[in-house]
Amino acid sequence: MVYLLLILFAFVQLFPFYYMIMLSGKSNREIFSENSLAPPKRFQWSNYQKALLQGKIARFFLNSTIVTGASIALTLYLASTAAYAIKRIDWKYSRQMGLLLLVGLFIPMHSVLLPLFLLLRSLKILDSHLGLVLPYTAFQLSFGVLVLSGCITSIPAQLEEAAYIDGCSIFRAFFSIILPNMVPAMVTLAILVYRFAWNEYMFAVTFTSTELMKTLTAGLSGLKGQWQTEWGLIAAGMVISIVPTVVFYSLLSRQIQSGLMAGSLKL
Amino acid sequence: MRKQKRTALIVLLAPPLFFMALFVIFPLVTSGYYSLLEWDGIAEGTFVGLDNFVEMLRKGKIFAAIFNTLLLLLCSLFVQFPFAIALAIIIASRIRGEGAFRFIFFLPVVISTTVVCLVWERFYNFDYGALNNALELLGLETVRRAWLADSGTAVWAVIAPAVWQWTGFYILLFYTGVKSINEELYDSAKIDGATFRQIAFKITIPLIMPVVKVAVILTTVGSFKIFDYIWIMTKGGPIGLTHVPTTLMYIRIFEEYSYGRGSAIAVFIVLECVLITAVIRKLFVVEEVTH
Repeated sequence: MVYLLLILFAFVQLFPFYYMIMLSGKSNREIFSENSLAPPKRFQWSNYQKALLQGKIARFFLNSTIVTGASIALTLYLASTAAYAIKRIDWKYSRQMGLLLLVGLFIPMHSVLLPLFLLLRSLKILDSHLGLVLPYTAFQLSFGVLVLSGCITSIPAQLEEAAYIDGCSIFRAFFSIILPNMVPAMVTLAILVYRFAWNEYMFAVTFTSTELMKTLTAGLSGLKGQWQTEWGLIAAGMVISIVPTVVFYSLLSRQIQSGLMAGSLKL
Repeated sequence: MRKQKRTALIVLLAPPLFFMALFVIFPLVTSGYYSLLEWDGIAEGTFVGLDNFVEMLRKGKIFAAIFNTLLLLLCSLFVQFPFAIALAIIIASRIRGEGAFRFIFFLPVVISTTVVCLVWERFYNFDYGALNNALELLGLETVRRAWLADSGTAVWAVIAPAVWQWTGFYILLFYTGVKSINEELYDSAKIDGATFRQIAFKITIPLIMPVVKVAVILTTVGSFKIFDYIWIMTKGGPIGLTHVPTTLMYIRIFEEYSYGRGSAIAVFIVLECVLITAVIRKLFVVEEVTH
C-alpha cells in the first residue's frame, strides 16, 4: 500500500547516509575486501580520531566555520541596512536602488567566476578567508534584501513615527525598533546563508589553493586524489562535515523547510 | 532631519550597493568584455568581437554539453516531477508520520553536494562500491560496470545523485502548494462521490500549476548552472562525455587559459538563464483555476 512506497523512498533517501557512516567506521582492510554493504565488524573510531586530530580535516572545519560565520554576519548586516534604507527612508531613488539590489538573484555565480578570480587576485585576498566571505556575501545579498524588505514592510510605521516624535534618530530607530522586530526573518536568513556558505563548492575550490585555507567542501574533495587508500578517513571527514548541518536541520527543520520554500516561491 | 536622512542613506545603503557593484555587477560586465577578447591571461588581449561566440557555436562541443544538461532536465521534468507530485499529494493527505517523512525526504537537500558526490562516487566504484556489490549479491555480476568511466553510463551516473538530492526539495515545494488548497473543495468533491484519484487529477493538480511553473523554472535554470556533480565525479570525462556548459567554461579558463572563450561560455550561460526564465514565464500562462 501507500506506506510501502513512502518507506521505500525514505530508505532511498537515507541509504547514502548509512553507507557513509558505515564507511567511516571501517579500516582500510575492510573497505578493500569485504562486501561494502555490510556494516563494519567493529566500528573504527580511529578514523574519527585521525580526522579530528591529525590536522587537515580539523583545519577544513575551522575554515568553513570562519567563512560561514563571517558571511552570515556580514550578509545579515548589509541586507538589513539596505532593506531598511529602501523601505523606510523617503528617497527619490528608493525603488530603483531596490531593484538594483535584487539583480544578484538573476546572475549565475559561474558566469562571474573569472572576473571575480582576477579581482580577488589583484586585491591579494585569494586563498584567504576574506576571499570567500566577500563573494559569498555579495551573492546572498540580493536574496537577503528580498527577504528582509518583505519583513520590514510588515512592521507598522507607527512604531518609528512615535520614536521620531520622541526625538529618536534614524539610526536609533533602526537598532532599537526595527531590528528586534526582524529577528525571526533574520534567523531564517541566517540559516539559508549558512546552508549556502557551508556547502558551497565552486568558489571554494577555485579561490583557495593551499590546504591551509580550504573549506570542508574544497578540502574533502581534494583529499580524494591524495589519500586514495584512506576512504574510511575521508568518510569520517564527510560525516563530521554534515554534523552541524544535520543538527541545525533537526532543531529547526520547520523553519528551514519553510524558509527555502518561501524563498523559492518568491521567484 | 534632511541632513540626517542623507547621512543615514549613505551609511545604510552605500555599503550594500558598493558590495553588489564590486562583486556582482562589475564582474558580470567584465565577463561580457572578456568574451570579446582573445586572451590568455598573461599577455595583452586582442579584441576579436564576436569571434569567440561564433567559434563556440561552430566547434560544437557546447552542444554536447547542452545536450547533457537537457538530459538532466528531462529526467527532472518527466521522472522526478511526477514522482514528487505524487508523493507530495500522498503526504499532504493526513497520513501518519507526515512530519517524519518530510524530514527524511528533505534531508539530502541540506547537505553539501560535495558530500553527496563523494558518497555516490563510492557507490560507483567497480570493486568495492555498493552498486556493484548489490548486483553481485543478486547474481547479476554481468551487469556490473565502471559506472563513471563507462561511456554508456557516465552521464546517467552523474545525473543520478543530482536527481536524488533534489527530489525532496520538489516534494516539499509541491506539498506547500497542495496544502494551500482549500479543504472545502475536497469535501464537496467527496460528497459528489469522487475517488482519491479523481480528486488528485481533477482538483489538486490543476490547482498547483502555479507552483509547478515555479518548479519548472527552478529546475531548468538549475540544470544549466549544474557544476559540482560533474566536476567532483568525472571532471567532464570520460573523454569529455559528461561535460556541461559550466565545466566546459571552467576548463577553458583554468586549464586552457583561453579567457576569452571561457568568458564567451560564461556570457552564454547568463543569457541562457535569463532567456529561459522569460520564455517559461510566457509559455506557462497559467490561469487561476477557480472552483
